[in-house]
Amino acid sequence: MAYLEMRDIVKRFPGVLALDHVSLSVEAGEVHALLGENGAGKSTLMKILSGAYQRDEGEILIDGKSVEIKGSHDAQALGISIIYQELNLTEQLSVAENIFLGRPIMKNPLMVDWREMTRQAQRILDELGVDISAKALVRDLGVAHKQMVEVAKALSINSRILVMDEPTAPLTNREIDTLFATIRMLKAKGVSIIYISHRLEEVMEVCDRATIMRDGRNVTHMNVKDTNLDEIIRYMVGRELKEKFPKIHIPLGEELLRVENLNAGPQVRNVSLSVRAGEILGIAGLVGAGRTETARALFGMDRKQSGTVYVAGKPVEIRRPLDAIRAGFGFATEDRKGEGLVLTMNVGQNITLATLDQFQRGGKLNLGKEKEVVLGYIDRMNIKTPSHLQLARNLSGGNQQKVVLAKWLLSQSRVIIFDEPTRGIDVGAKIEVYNIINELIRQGAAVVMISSELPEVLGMSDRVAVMCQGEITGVFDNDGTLTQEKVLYYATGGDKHTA
Amino acid sequence: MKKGLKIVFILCLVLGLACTGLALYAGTHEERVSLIRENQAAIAKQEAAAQAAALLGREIEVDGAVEPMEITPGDQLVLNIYASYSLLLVAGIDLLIVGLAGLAGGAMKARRRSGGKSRVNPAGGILGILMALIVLCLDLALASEAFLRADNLLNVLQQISINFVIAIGMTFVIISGGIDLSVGSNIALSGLLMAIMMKTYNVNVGLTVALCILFSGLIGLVNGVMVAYLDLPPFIATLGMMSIARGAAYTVTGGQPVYTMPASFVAVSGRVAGIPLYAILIMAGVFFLGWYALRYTRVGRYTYAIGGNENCAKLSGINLGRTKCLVYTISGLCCGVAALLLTSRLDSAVPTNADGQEMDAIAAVVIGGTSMKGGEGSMIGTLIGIMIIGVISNGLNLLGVAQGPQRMVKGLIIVVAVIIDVVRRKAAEAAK
Repeated sequence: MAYLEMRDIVKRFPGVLALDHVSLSVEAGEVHALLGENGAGKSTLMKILSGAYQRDEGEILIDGKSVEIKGSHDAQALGISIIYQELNLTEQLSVAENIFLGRPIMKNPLMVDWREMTRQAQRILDELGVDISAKALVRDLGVAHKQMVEVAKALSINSRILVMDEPTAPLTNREIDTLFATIRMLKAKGVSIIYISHRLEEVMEVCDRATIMRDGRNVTHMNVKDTNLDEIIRYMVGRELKEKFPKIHIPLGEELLRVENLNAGPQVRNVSLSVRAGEILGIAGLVGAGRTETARALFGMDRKQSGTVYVAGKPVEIRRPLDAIRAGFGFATEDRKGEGLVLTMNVGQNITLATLDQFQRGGKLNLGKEKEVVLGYIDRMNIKTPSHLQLARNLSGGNQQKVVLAKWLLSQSRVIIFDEPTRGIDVGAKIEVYNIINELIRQGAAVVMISSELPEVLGMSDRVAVMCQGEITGVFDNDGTLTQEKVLYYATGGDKHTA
Repeated sequence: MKKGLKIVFILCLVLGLACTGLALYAGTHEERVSLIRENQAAIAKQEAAAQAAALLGREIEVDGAVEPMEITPGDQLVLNIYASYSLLLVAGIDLLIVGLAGLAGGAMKARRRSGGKSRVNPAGGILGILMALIVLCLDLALASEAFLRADNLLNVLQQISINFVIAIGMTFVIISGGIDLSVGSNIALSGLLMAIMMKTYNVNVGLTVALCILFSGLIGLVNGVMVAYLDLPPFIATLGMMSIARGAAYTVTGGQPVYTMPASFVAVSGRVAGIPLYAILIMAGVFFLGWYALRYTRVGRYTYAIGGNENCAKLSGINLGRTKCLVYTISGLCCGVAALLLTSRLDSAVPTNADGQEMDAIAAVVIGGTSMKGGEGSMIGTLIGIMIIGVISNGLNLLGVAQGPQRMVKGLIIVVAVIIDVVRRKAAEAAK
């Protein structure tokens, strides 16, 4: 008898059947993966579980009893907690206050019993085996610790069902290991965990069973140990993905980018690298190794202290992003919503934002020409949008990323920096992003690709530079002999291990 | 559409029908009502006379005493309804319109959804406020006969001219994610400067106007520099400027007003063939320039981008500092034009001129659907917002509402407009 059963759930939005008789059953003490591409209906299903949406048909049973979940209050009373990708904590408050947010322990009707609250919070944190003080302010914690505070919050309300949405996305490898240890501990306590992630390797590692969804329907349920990555991907995508990484090799041209001894703060120290036309340079490293900071300094977002940048052999002075764009740089940042797009502008306006000069004559923008060019890019890059007038915020993650890429394609960038190009993008759209990168190098661009996903770095790069603590610890040709282990070795310090 | 909402709209329809029906029913008995009223007035007069006579201890001869008319229950009902005739008619028609619009909007949305694609409809918000404006005008036309008269409408036009011009500039500022509180003081200072230059120093009218508009632009530029390069929050920077400019306005004349401007200056707000032609031309010109700049120039596009996402704008190579300075300068220049219109219309300049004008301008922009968070909004929306504010002011004047309650009403309108903005945003988020 499963602890949680969602049976034949149907949810209709006007004109759309979002969930079509979807079922999910999770045992007590099980880690259950909920898999599917973006838009498959995972979030809708979880929103029904949390009471944010109401189901149109179907039944939810917890411990064999049929339940109604009308809102977050009901969900909490039934022991359901959800940890979203964007953590739901109040930064200015202490850990204990966050854990007991909305239901503080009272000494009397007017006074909060701070001591008792701190004591209980600390007890839960200790139980979790994490080294966090209940008195610390949440804003002083790292992402991994913040996540643990969320877990502690869930435990404090005696949650029996814990949903985790992409919990590992912001974590470093070591932090992921800690998280997995916690998950196993929760499992041992009999908590049912629903685990949503795009990182299938992790699913294979930590989950017991998996439910795969596609287009609002159940595709299959399976035991994780009886399956493999390829099979899961096949079910998710509904088609065979021949290659996860469509790597192409083309003859390399002249050296387009050369960086010598770039210094910018403690995170970028003496970085030197070079990329040739038609080449993809992967930059690997742990979170905080200084990869993003290097890119930002190159692009003029952050001030650099010293160092010279050459584009196609000529030294260029980059003080602000405009200089970088003029020198032929493009920068698809890690944070699409925060930096890549203006969500309140439409798709077309986003695509032309960096290149409005092209559409200007005598102070007037030629909107007709703009539309024509934009429609061309929407078609060429297969951006799924009802119209070029659709607001960017209404697109899915993958399509948003394509809009960002279209912006830099349009600006004729010759050196393009990608920071985590496929983060939060579903499997099918990932391939499309890789194909766009391929087209770029085919046209003679030089690509710098920063990624935390080692398979991606090894799958797509011609050469790999590894960074650790602001320095490049090694640069390797990716000729098939480079292994994840070797990259990790250098990412954690490389030759300093022996020194 | 949600069931609850549908019921509300249908209820609106039914109530509206009932109200209008009652009003019309009472309207058909107009003759009878006036007869009864005349009769009642005559009786009251007679009784008063009798009372007065009794008090003086005299008897008065009454020739042809008025007999009280017989009032049937039906008459009584009609009388009661008639007492609130215009209120019923206005409320009834409004309810009908709201009900119809709500149902029609819901049906349209449902059809669009079932089409599978979510069509993009940037005009959606504007249609709503346009409806509100039309309903407002209808109400006023019913409530006051004076409203639709040509001279009153021209009056409205002249009354809104100041707000019209500065709201155009304010639209830029608010779309860029900022706010300009200094517009009122800017107008007062610039207006005084015009008056002093022409009266005391006998500077040529054209030159004066040009210089003072530039001066207003300069005040805006200073705002822009404070916001863009000193990283002051727009609210604080322009609040400071508001006080500085107002203080300067008091200082330049020692608080004294300046009267009687040169004839050619006053003529700017004068009427040609009964129409304030030059004022209309100036308003149209400013509106066209603002609309064009927002839609067809890089500065306009950059204004949206900065208000929507400053980081992304910077990353896309947009010069944030320069764009912000330009935006506040535009607002300043608009103040200069407004100062010209105001000073020439009043034929005087007083340091207290245009006090609280920023409220009206912000209200117009916000009612027009521009988001206080920046990044979204349109000139057409602002245009309708200005007219709504103008019509409301005029209506309150016509109905004899005092200045105090008028300001309360305006404050309320701003709050309601922002609530609508917030609710709409949340609904859009939820629909995703």
